[in-house]
Amino acid sequence: MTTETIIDPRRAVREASLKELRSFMRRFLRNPLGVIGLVIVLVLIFCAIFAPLIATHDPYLPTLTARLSAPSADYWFGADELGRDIYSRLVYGSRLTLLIVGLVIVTSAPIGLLIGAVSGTVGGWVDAIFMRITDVFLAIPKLLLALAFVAALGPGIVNAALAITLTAWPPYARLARAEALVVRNSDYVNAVRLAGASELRIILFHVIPMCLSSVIVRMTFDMAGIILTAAGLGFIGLGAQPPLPEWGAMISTGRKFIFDQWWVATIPGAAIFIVSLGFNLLGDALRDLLDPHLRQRN
Amino acid sequence: MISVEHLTVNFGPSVAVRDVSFTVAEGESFGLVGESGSGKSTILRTMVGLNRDWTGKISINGADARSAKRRDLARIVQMVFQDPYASLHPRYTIGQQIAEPMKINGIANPDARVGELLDLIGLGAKFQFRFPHELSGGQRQRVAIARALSLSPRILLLDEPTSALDVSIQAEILNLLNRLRKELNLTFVIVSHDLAVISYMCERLMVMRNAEPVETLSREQLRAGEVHNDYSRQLIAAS
Repeated sequence: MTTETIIDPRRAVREASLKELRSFMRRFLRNPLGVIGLVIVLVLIFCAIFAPLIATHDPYLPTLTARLSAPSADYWFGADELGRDIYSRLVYGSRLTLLIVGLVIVTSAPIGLLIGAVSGTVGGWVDAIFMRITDVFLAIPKLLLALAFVAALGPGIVNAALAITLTAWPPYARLARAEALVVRNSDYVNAVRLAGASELRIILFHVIPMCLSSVIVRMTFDMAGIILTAAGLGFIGLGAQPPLPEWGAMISTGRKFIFDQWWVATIPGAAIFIVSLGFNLLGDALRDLLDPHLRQRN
Repeated sequence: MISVEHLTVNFGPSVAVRDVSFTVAEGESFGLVGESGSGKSTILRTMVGLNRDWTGKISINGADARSAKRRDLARIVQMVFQDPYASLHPRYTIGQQIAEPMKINGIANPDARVGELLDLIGLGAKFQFRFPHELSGGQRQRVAIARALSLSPRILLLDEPTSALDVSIQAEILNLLNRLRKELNLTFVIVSHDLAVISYMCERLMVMRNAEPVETLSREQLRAGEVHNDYSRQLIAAS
C-alpha cells in the first residue's frame, strides 16, 4: 500500500502532538489572569535558577552595622536583625520554596495517581482496602500529622517535605479513582480489553492518561497550599533551620520587630502571598482548559 | 460458527436476557432486533466477556466463551461499539489506537498494517496521525471498524453500528460493512432497533422483547410479512 507521500511515522506523530500543544497554548494565552499566574511562577523559577546572579548580597553574611536597616538603595528590602540583605535572602529562599514544592509534588502526585487509578480500575476488595487507607489519612489533620512527623524525625527541609507528602497524596487518590471509575467501563477501554490487554496495561496506558488532566490541575492548586504549609512549618521552627533563608522562618524572626521594623516580616510574607496567588491563578486557568466537566463550554 | 444456548444474564436482581438460544453459521449475518432495554446489546457484550454474571453455554468457533483465554478469543471475535464518540481514546492518535491491539498480541510490523487497514476502510493512511476529535462521527466509526479488524478476526459483533450517525452516513457505513464481509469472509452479528438496517444487512434475525426472544425470521419471511407473532408484526408495522 503506497500513499502519495512517504512520511516518517515517528516524526508525524510528534508533529501531531505538537499541533495539539500549540492549540492548547493558544487557548491558554486567551486567559490574562492565567498568564499573570504563569509569569509569577516563571519569575520564581528564574530567581531560583539564577539566584547568585540576581542577589546583591551574600544571604548568609551578617553586617552588624546594617542591622534592621530600612529599605534603601543598598538594601532594597531592608536588612534583618543580623544585617543580612532581605532581598538576597528572598531570592535564595525561592530555591527552598521550589525544592519543597517539587519534592512534595514529585512524591505525592504519582503515589495518589497510582493508588487511585488501580483502585478505580480493579474495583472489588482492592478498591475497598485502598480507599479505607485513604480515608484514614484524610481524617488526620494535615498540619498536626506533619508536626508529629517532623517532631519524630527532627526538623529540616526534607523531613518537612516528607511530612507534607504524607498528608498530600490522598486527594490525588480520590480524584484519580473518580476518573478511573468513569473510564474503566468506557467503550475505548473495553475495546482494548477485548484485544486482550492486561489490567496493568489498561491502567498504565489507558486509564492514567485520562486521570492526568485533573491531577495536573489539582497539583497547581496544591502548590499554593504546600508553600503555605511549608512556611507554616518554618514559622514554628520545624521546617528549614537557620540560617537557611526560608520564607516562613524569615517571617518568624521578623515577628519580634513587626511594630518597629515592619519590613523584616512583611517582605517574605508578601513573597509567599504573591507566589501562592500565582500558582492559584495558573491552576484556575489550567482547570478552565483541562477539566473534562468544564470542557464542553468552550 | 457461533452457538448460544439457554443464555440468561442477570444484572443483580433484574434479568437482562432470559433463555436465549441461537446459532450463526460461518459467513452469515445475523440480526438482533428489539426496542431499547430488550437485552440485545447485553447478548453481544456477554459473548465477548464484558459481562461476568451469566448462565448457559456460548461457543464461538468451537471454543467455550467462558473458559477460553481472552487473547485467543480476541483473534476470532471483535466488537464495534455503538457510539463512535465514546469508543476512541481521546489522547491517542488514530494510528496508535489501531496499532494497539496488534501490539498487545505481538503482531509484527503493526505500523504498516495500520496504513493498510485505513486504506481498506476508505480513510487513507494519512489519517493515522489525526486525533479522534478532528474526525467526524462517520470517520470515527470507520476507525473503530479498522481497529476491530486489526487482529483479523473472523466474527464481527456490531452493536448499533449506525444509530449514532446521521442518515446519509449510515448508508455509507452499512455499505462498507457489507463490502468488508464479502472481501474478508466475515461473520456478522448485528444489533439494531432499526428493522430497515437489519433487513438490509442480515440473512436471519431474531426479534427480542423484554429480555426474551420473540421469534426468529429469515430475511425473506420478513419481507414477505410471514410473521407469526403479534409483537413482531407491530414492530414491522411501526418501521
